[in-house]
Amino acid sequence: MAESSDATEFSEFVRTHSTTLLRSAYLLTGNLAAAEELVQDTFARLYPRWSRVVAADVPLAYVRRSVTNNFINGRRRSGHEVLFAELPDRGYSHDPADVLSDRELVRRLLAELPPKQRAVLVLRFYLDLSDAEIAADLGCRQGTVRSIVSRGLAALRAETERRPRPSDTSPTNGNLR
Amino acid sequence: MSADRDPAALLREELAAEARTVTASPAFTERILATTQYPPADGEFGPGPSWRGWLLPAVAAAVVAVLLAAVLVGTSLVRSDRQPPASRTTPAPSLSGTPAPSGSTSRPAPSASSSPSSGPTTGSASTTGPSGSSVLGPAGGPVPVGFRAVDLTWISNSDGWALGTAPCGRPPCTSITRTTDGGKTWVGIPAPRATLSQTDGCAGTCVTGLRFADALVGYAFGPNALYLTTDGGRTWAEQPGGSAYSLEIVDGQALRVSGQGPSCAPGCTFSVQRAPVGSTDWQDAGLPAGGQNAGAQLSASGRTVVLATFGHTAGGAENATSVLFTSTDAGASWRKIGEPCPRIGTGPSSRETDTVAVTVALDGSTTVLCTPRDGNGEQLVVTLTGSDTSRHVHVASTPAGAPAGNVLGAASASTLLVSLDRLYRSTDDGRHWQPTGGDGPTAAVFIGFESASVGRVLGVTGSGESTSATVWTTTDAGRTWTATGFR
Repeated sequence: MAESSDATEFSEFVRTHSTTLLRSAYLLTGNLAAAEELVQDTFARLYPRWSRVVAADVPLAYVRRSVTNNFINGRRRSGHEVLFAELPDRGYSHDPADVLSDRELVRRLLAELPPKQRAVLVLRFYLDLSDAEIAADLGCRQGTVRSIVSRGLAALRAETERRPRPSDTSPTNGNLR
Repeated sequence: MSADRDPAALLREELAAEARTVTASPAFTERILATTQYPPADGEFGPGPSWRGWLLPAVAAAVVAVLLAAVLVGTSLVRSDRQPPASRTTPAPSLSGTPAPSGSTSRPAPSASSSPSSGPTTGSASTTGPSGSSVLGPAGGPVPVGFRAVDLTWISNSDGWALGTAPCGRPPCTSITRTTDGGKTWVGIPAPRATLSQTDGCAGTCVTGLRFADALVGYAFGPNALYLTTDGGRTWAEQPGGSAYSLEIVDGQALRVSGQGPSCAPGCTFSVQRAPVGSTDWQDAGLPAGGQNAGAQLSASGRTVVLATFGHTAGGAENATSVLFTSTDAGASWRKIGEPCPRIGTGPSSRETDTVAVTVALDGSTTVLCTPRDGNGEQLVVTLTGSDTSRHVHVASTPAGAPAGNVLGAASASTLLVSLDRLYRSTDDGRHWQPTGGDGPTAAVFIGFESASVGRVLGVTGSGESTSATVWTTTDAGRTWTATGFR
């Protein structure tokens, strides 16, 4: 892309829609750093053919679809990333003694799903896309989408029923500080 | 949630709530624009390109066999296709640090780069700059003959200052120059009466670095002295008992690292204080107490600040670890990160590496240069991205065969510069390095980025009296450079 007007248009698009795309990516990846990497990588791939993006009926939908497929295909930037023992670790911990919050429950459900199934749930319940739209985005049949949605909801229902309620937890001794 | 709550409604509500916790920062969008609009140049950065990297040349080569003229045209087209856009939005002036460590007398001691502008203070006369614009502070005179710069500070793409020295009859010869046109022209302005540590040592009162917060408020600092100007450098007031091994301007606050004296042998106990810009009311920044250290360095960009303390081996190698502290609220609170430099290899033959430089880019990423303690092999470049609770760490090596350096710069997490035997640039997190172009800067004593695309390098050539300094400016994240002297 060499036209300066295209470059300006691209800059405006990035500034306008980064948060929207980052939020979807965050739900897909479950990790802010990975979400930023996913969005950045998607823009890097689309930039050379930006004229095709802006020619789409809804450019934002085009980019969002690219983010989703980039995530599913695992085509994120590869690298030999390592973690140091000394560096801080997880943002939150899973203490089995804790009663899972609704948010935690949803996080856990998504984290345990394969990328494509997770994408289906995010597209359906965060972006409110129809079965047909999701199927078109992901290149699968509507029946597959319905099946994934159904199984996801069933798993969530089962988790909520299995989860101990706050009133069920017995009081602990020795925590008086 | 009660067990009988509709799972679909639960998913909708919780996904929406979770998504709302995330917002794309301006630094993130800047990083996207920088990495997409300033890709590696033609043939740059090693072997890695995908089919797109060789398919077009292969097709062109086939055409060569048929028609020579087509080759010439084709080559020209391919090259022109890979140039960056002819125009782009002007980046907002901001800051990013790129220093080598202070507190060390064995190395050159460049310090970090630009500082955020917090708005000019009122009450000073203005003059007219070379571009006809109104200039706050002294009018300035000619640049001293033989001026050699050792440190730079910028408050915008156009307004910057250089700290240096020039031959003079009555020492100290410390000098300051100022530009209001992005480095095209410079004028000399008054400087504090202190020696310049990098060239004259620090026997008496000395300075090593210079920072301006805006057109009027600036700091000249060293291990045993701190000078403040509130009139653009017309006058400098020495702060009683003041010192700063490193100083940065962050979000209207000045942050400094103080030690207990000019020497760090066998070690200094450093502390960090902050004060509103222009104020002398320094308050402790509440950093966790550290032990004796051989040096310390601040680097800042936006509201992100990183402090690196460099360990020393007086108490044994186990005490020689560096410690990184980060703050994302302009130094109000800090988080201890620990030793950023990993060991090379595993088992008994593994080798320790030590932090020698740290820098923060506009996107909030922190990059650390680590050097093997035994002095053998390449250095490591460690980049930390993400939030405190979700940190990505990427480790790469400096170019094979190059000597060690201690000056580092980062336009973003992925676009890095390091000064070794010459200046090298990477646009892929340090996986591949390329010397900057033949007409670009060579060795640097200062690297700084004011935005994801605009940066400066202070290059020094020669030695002793024949030393000369050149300011290099890039507007495409270090891909191409323009040189300006001090005139």
